[in-house]
Amino acid sequence: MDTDTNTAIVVRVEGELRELVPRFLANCARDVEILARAAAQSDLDTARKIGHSLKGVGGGYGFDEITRLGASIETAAKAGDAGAAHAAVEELRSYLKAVYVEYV
Amino acid sequence: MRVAILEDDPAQIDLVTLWLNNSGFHCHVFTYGKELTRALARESFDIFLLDWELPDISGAEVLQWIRQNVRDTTPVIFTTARDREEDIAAMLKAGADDYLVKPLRKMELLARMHAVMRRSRNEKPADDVFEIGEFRVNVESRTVHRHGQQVELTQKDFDLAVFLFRNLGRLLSRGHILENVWGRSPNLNTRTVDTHVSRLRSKLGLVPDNGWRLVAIYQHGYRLEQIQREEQAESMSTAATPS
Repeated sequence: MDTDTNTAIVVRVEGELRELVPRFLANCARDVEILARAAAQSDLDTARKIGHSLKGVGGGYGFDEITRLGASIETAAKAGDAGAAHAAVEELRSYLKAVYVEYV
Repeated sequence: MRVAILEDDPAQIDLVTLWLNNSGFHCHVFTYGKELTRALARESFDIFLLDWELPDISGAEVLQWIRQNVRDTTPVIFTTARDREEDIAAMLKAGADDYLVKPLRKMELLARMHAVMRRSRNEKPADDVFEIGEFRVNVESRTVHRHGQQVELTQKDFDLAVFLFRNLGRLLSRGHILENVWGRSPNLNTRTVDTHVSRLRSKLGLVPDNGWRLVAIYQHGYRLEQIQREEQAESMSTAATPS
């Protein structure tokens, strides 16, 4: 993932996950696009499901912020708040662009 | 240890199977609840990890099915992103042995899995020497003595004997036995298990007259049972009665 290391958010991840993390982050980026479309179309059920999934898995890979933002998306979708869901999706997009992984 | 993982999220599957494979577990992944319940007609596991939200039936329904249809007390851990107190309480009341809120953490997951297996009957203390009935088993020296006399066993027969003794009373599928005794080898089939079980029954005298029963369950596997004295006496008197 191309990241300017001056503005990067560095996340330290267990070396054991080295082979899984690039695929995980690529799938998160793909989810962001689906979420953006869902939020724009007020498809809040799709947003809720993806948010729920991101909430459940992000922290396991070492990305607590993905879990936090997934929870925000899920909560907003459950509340019927497409605007808040969209804002959380954009925050997730920015995070994924900025994140830089260091394996420990 | 053989674990059944019911989970439909690919990222979660990748993560959990990596952790568990690296920790010596044999993972079997099911993405549909009905896929797992169908498999349980012919397979056995040491522990279940169940997700709640699945594409077909819910993890809660699968838990209910397991508790109604699986005879032994194989432990179940619920792993889900649902963190409401009511949900946690409902699943524990429904028969789950533990409940982990996602995101999962490796050390905690492993510690809780070992804890519930220790509390259930599926993880016996790994004593190097144990006695069971007339047998004395020494895992370190890889010997089995029956009434003080050493029984000659091949390496695989010994491993099979230890696995059966440590899972006394449990129905073990052929796949489960194969995986634990032989490991995962594409060149082996379940008939290997049948051959070795038959030989072990004979070598160790695992027959009702001796207080043992090594039962074959059609299309499933085997269960080693230690039969009650009264039942044993009845079996001996039946055998002694002229027909």
